[in-house]
Amino acid sequence: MPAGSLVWATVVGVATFLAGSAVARALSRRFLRGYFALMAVRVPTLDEALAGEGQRVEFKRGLSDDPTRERSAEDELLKSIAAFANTNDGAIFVGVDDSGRIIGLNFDFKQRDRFEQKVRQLVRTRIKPTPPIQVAFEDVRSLVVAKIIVARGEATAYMMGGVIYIRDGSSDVQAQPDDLKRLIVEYAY
Amino acid sequence: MSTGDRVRPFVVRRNVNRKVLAFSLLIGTTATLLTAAGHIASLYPSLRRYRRTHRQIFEKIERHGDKYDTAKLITDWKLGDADYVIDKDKRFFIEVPDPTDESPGSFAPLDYSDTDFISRYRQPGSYTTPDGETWRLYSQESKAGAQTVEIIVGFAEKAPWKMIDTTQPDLGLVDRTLEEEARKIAASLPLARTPRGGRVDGYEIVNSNTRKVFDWGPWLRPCYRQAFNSRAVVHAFTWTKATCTSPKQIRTVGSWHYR
Repeated sequence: MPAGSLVWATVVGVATFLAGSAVARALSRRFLRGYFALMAVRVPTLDEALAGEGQRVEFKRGLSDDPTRERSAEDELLKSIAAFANTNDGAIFVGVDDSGRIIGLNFDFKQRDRFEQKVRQLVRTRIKPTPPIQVAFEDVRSLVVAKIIVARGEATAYMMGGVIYIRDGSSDVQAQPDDLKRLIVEYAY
Repeated sequence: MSTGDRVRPFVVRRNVNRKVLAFSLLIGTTATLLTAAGHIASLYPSLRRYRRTHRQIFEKIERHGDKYDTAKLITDWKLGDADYVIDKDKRFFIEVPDPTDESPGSFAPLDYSDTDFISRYRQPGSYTTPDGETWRLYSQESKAGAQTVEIIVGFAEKAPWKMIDTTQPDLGLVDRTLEEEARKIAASLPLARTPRGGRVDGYEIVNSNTRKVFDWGPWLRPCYRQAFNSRAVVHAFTWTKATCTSPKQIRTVGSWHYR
């Protein structure tokens, strides 16, 4: 191949590579950060999780159908999501009581979809900034358990209703001034 | 909360950034490979056509001892063109590109001539090429600016493409014409790429030191004999298989190698 053609081919190759990489980088930074963050999460299986609640596992009975109790159940779920996002990766199993007994969710496929949409909408509207989450379902002995996987976020802190929650063992607690100081310091290093 | 359980956002950010970078590089590499594949795919029909043409060209050349007969090659007007047909061992250009207004008919790696061969014709003399053409050649040394150049002019005494062969009595006139044209070319130097040697069948101007062809006119193939360095030969031979392409034009190189 003559030198001119080689130079031309190299220039086109490098330009294509740089342009392709730049476009992919811009788009992935905009749309795929959450996906990449979730990719790194080691998700416990339901069997592993049934050993009990802990730093990375939380059980919830479900979102209540009773309008008077619905708000409280949603708050508890969102607190756990925010706490995981502020502390470490974690999974919330919905349809399991605090003792680790599977009670299941009475969901058909349509309701699963609706549940996922509701969770995503709640997270988007009530936790700022929006943490990376993924919703999945597991069928155990004809019982449905929803699994909400939360990745540790990249933001300094995720707030729910103006409050920062952190995960402490099996509890979601309000961050104290020392915790806030640590979150800010850790953000940079 | 135990310190060991906490994941720092900086680490998450760094990990995500690494994944973004890896993904971007993967996409960039894929795009490059797809572009290359598309380019090669677009060239493939031409490559096949040139390969077929090269094979046909080789089939048209017959070998008789040390000589070869190119009459079928020259007279087959339907046959596609190769830019060059070269006997690698003898370093003889069986076919060379014709210079046109668009293209000077040169091919940089091969544009070297054997000045020792050229300087043998300080007096007009005949030379029979390996493919059976007989040429009357005359050369002289001259100056093109600061450079010393060899000028050689040639007249085909006998060639398949000539209607009438030159007879012995006409050689005197041919020699005088060659000398006159060589003088005219010397006088026109150092202007390059101007019409020269109108009354001869070919001419060539070669830098005496570098052996690089400075200018040349059609049909004068004998002077390309042993004309190129071995590196160029390797290129020429290689390009037979992989038709060489450039963004502006596609050139084919036909090379011929007897074993």
